Amino acid sequence: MELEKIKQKIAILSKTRAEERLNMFQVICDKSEQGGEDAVKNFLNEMGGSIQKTAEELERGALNGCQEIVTAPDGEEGAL
Amino acid sequence: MKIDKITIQGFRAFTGTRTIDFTNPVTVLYGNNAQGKSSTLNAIEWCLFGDKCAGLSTGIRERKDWKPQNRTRTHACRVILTCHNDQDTIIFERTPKLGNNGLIVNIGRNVIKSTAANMWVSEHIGQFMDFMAMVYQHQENIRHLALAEPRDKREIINRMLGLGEYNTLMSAINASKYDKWSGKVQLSIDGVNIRIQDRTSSYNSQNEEIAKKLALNANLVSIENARLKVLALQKKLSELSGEAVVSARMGEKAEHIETLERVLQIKGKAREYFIQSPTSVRNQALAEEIVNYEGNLAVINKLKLELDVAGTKLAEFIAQNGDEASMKGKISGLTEEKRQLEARLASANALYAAIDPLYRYMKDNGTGTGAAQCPACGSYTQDQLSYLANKLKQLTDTEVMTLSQQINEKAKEIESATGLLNQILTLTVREVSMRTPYAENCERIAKELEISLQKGEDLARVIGGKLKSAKEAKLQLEDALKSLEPRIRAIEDESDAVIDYCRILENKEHIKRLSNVKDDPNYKQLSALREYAERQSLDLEAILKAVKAIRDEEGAARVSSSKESIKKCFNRIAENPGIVDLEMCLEPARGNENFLFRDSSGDDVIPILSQGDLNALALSIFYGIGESNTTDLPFNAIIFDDPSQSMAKHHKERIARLISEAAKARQVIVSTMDSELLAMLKDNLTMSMKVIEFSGWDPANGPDLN
Repeated sequence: MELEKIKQKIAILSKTRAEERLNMFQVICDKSEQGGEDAVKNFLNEMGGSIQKTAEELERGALNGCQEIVTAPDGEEGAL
Repeated sequence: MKIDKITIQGFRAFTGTRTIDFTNPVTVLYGNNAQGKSSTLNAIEWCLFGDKCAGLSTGIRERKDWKPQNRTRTHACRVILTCHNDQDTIIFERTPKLGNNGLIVNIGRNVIKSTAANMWVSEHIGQFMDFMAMVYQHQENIRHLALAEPRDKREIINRMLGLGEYNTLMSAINASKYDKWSGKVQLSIDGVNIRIQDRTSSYNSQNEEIAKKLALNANLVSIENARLKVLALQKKLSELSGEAVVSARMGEKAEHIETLERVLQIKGKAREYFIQSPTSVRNQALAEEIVNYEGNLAVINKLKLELDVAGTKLAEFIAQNGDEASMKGKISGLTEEKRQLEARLASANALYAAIDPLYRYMKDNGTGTGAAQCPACGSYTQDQLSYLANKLKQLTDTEVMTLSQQINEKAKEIESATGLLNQILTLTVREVSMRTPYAENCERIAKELEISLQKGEDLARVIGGKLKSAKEAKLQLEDALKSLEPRIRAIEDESDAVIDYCRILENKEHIKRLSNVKDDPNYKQLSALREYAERQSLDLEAILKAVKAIRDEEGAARVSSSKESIKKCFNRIAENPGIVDLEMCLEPARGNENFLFRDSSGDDVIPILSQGDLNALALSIFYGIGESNTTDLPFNAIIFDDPSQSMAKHHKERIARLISEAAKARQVIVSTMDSELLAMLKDNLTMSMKVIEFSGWDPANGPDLN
């Protein structure tokens, strides 16, 4: 795989965040080098899973921070 | 770089240690299946690339669960590959330890190990996929090109073009569904927003209902008004109770909550005042007294009634039948009369007993007929026997019978009088037995109620008098309470209205806090997280675009540089008269994801190719790509693994000629079980060839090599 060409292409395609994208690509390449396709999949799945998990935790945190949401107006406990 | 020799130990089919020489321009590994030929070729690629040539990510299905170590484990797995280039002898030695880092590269006196060794291979030999595309023609690529579905066919060609890694990487990135990441965060944000909206709407609805009930505008409700209402209530209660009413402060609470709690206090105090006022207390005491009087009176009346009933019954009985003494006198008289009658009956019976034998004698002896004197009594009769007969008849028919009847009648009269006497006695006993509990209860109740009875005074009457007085007093108190109750009720109702008023304020506070959720750090972080996820998605998309763009460029370049070689090679192997001017090209209409093989008329030739021609095409792609890049190849060798599979004799002859030509520029290694191909190679090769025959396989040592 022509890694350098890909890196150049990423830089050309990226008006912003070129550095971050190159770093991410490097991480993906390293993962691929170390563990092949599965390692890349695991890495990206973990990244996606982490975003989803964090989102769920923050959602719970935002809801728990407001008693008005936890307890419904009729006085019953609202399901979070 | 060319291969000189390989030493294989404990690898795949090699249980022991074998060294195979590759110094001839052409080396043919010949033998039947399962003798170790493929393991020899696998050893070359594994030594160079390690685990990268294992697993499904290689695109070769046979590589699933592929392990280098021989299962017998009699010898540790080790492969030593000796090569040379223009300057040096290079020895690669790999063991399956340290993950994929069990590689040592010896270059002259330099020794490079593990990660650095792998990196050296990447830099100087290239990637595994390139090696597979241009050096090592895997038999599965040929076998599957003919049988695979279009999608798999595309993958095989990609692999043969050395583009497999691009696709694997793109597939791995796509599998992450990165484009959904920010959507998932947005779902969480929406979840919070929906709850805020839902709760706010509920509080607003509640306020509208309360405002409607109170006939006011919920928007005009204020804490100041609530406070004024509370003060007004305090004043009212103070005026009513005559005491200053000041509700206690609740401490550091929100104003609306404190106001609400004050109202609740006032409401409670109003009811408390009503319950604890002297009038209420006296009223309650009187109610208890009345209940007490009524209860005791009921007890006394019940006992008195029972006593009166018993007395009346006794008196009526006596009036009707006489008292006990007269009844006893009557029984005594009747008994005497009965005794006299019984005496007369006994005399009559005695007379009969005296006359009857005499009469029988006279009758039996023929005496007494005619006038005669009675021998018993001396009286004179004309017919003594008839006289006695009449006398006996008179005694039995009249006197005895009459007396017996009279005696029986007397006995019945005595029995009747005795029954009446018993009834008098029973009624008397009952009347007496009623008198005792009545007296005892009257004494107890009088003591409890602290009543001192004068002689002849009736307790029930005294209690009745007290009960009447208590009821009259209670009626007066109730009149007083009736005038107090509405005033208390009014304060309570007003308190309820103020409580509702405060609820509106409380709900407004709830709504305010709900609107503040968006200022919560967690909520803000959610928004930041969504932006982060969007950035990551865009980054991955850009990477994906870049990988695809380079893949397309590389693919186009390889197709472009190789298509003449592929066409030439295909024409030489297949010699299919139906296909003129084969051209391989990418299909832009499908985003360069697909390959087309067209003839001069522009039609796709794949559907009309026989299996042998498809194999020829696969071999042509492999050979053509390699041939067109010969000058750039770091590894100047070409490995054919079973190249003649499913091919007819004329194909094989052309392959032999092709291999002969290839051997002029590159080191050639051929693995085959095809004796026909071997014979043709022997006939057609112009270079020196070494045939290594895999003639058998021994579990202890592995392949038998000749």
